[in-house]
Order: sequence, then C-alpha cells, then structure tokens
Amino acid sequence: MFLARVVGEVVATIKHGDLEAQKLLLVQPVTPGDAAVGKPAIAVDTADAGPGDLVLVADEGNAAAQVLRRARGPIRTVVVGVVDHVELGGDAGFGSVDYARPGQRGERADLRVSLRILRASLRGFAEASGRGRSRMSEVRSREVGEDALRVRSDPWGPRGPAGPVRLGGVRMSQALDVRCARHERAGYREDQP
Amino acid sequence: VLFARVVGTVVCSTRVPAWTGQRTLLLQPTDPDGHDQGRWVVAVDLVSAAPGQRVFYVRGREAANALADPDNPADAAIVGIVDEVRTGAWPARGGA
Repeated sequence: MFLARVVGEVVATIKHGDLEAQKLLLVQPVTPGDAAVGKPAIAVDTADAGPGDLVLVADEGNAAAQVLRRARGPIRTVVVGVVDHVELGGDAGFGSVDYARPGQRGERADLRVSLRILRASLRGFAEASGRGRSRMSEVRSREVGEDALRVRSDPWGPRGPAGPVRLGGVRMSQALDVRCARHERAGYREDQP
Repeated sequence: VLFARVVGTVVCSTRVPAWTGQRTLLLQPTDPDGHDQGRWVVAVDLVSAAPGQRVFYVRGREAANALADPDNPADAAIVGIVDEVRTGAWPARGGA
C-alpha cells in the first residue's frame, strides 16, 4: 500500500463490467512529506475520498477483490482509506509548507515560510525564515523537525485550489526541499485554536 | 490502472486458445494529460477501443482476470475508454 493524493477523477462510459458503477480517482503517489513520487494511477474508490484527500491505496489484486467483496477480477488499484495524519517515529516532526512569502523590507530574511505540522503531538504552525537565502531548499527552521519538508506541489493544499503560489518569480510547485533543523520545544510557537 | 493511447492493432493468426476472439492492440502509455510516456505495450482489448482513443489498462495478473477464462497469459488488458479526466478545476466534494 502507498500514500497518495487525490488529484482528479476519471470518467469513462465504456468500461469493463467489473468497473461499472465504480468511482475512478486519479491518485498521485506521495511521500509522507507530501512530495509527489512516481506516476499517477487510476484507482477505484471504496473510501468516499474527495479532491485533495490524502489516501491509502492498495495496489494488489487480492486486496482489491477482498475490499470490493467479489471474485478476483481486473481491478488491482483501490483507494482503501482516507488518511487523517501520518506520524513518523523519533523526535523529528514533519509537515508541509503552507505558504511562503518574501521577507518584509528591513528583515534579513529573504523568505518566510509557514510550516503546517502534521505530527499529532506538534499539530499547529511554525514560521521559519531563510536568512540570506534565495532558495526554498536552503530555508531552515529551529522549530520543526529535521525531516525533509517539501512545498506542496498540488493546488489542493489547505487553502484550496488557489493555483500555484509564486515566490519572487519562482513557482512553489517546483517542490523544493525545505530542510529543517531538529525540533526545539522552547522555540516552538503553538498556534492552535 | 494506467492511461494509454491506442496506436495500432496487433494481428496474430496463431495464438493461445484462451485469447480466441479477443483483439490485441498496441498501446502507447501516457500521463493523465495524454502525453506519451514510456514504452509501447500490447494489451488485450475488452472494450472495443479504436486507434487514437484514450484508454486505461490494467497490468499484471489482473489483466488475465479481465477475460472470461482467467487461465490465459495476458499481462495487460484495456478495461475502459476515457471520456474525461477532471483535475485542476475539479469542484470540491459537494452535497452528494
């Protein structure tokens, strides 16, 4: 099974009998840090997933047959769950970049990045600044775990389908790594409602 | 299940009995936008697809299961013809 982001829907009038009355979703496999990896696939939806959902996808015929409660057929890729959140072990938290903007005049930071923390114990937002940096890949944060974070590359981020975010002429969808230093509780700004 | 475009027909006068009456088509795999991607593949056709049409096909053991007699050597089978792929402006989940 793998994690994927629902990026579209496929409509087909003529299809194999086993696919009748099934919702077909276009899913893009992603890393736990929400970076796209590999080719998008078409999956049968059994979890009532919607656009932008992070989902669990099984890509194996027996699993598919079992989930669909039928004999083995030509279906092997099935959405079997909608993911609430993913936790990684150890001290490292991880998240995805919610937004980024150039630093204000007078600030030394060239970039300011808001990180959405997905780790349950650290749920919230943190801001990181890339002092003297010109690339997203060089932005570091003391407040967030050391896992590689990536800019959301799909337009279905938490702020809706707003289209690709631009930052100083650079498309955020270029999905650059944002590596962050080890989490430090002391400096972490809890931002929960 | 992956996207492809039908680029031709493969005609064989002699082949395994399990494939009797089945057409075999030549596919060019594509990405969701329809751009060519990767190497050609020969697939059993179950939906009467025509050259030029966008289709989706299943690979592996499940391709053989698509035929009435699952005891056959197919490793790729066309299981649908693509009408439309909605991305980008796909509306959020509504009242349904």
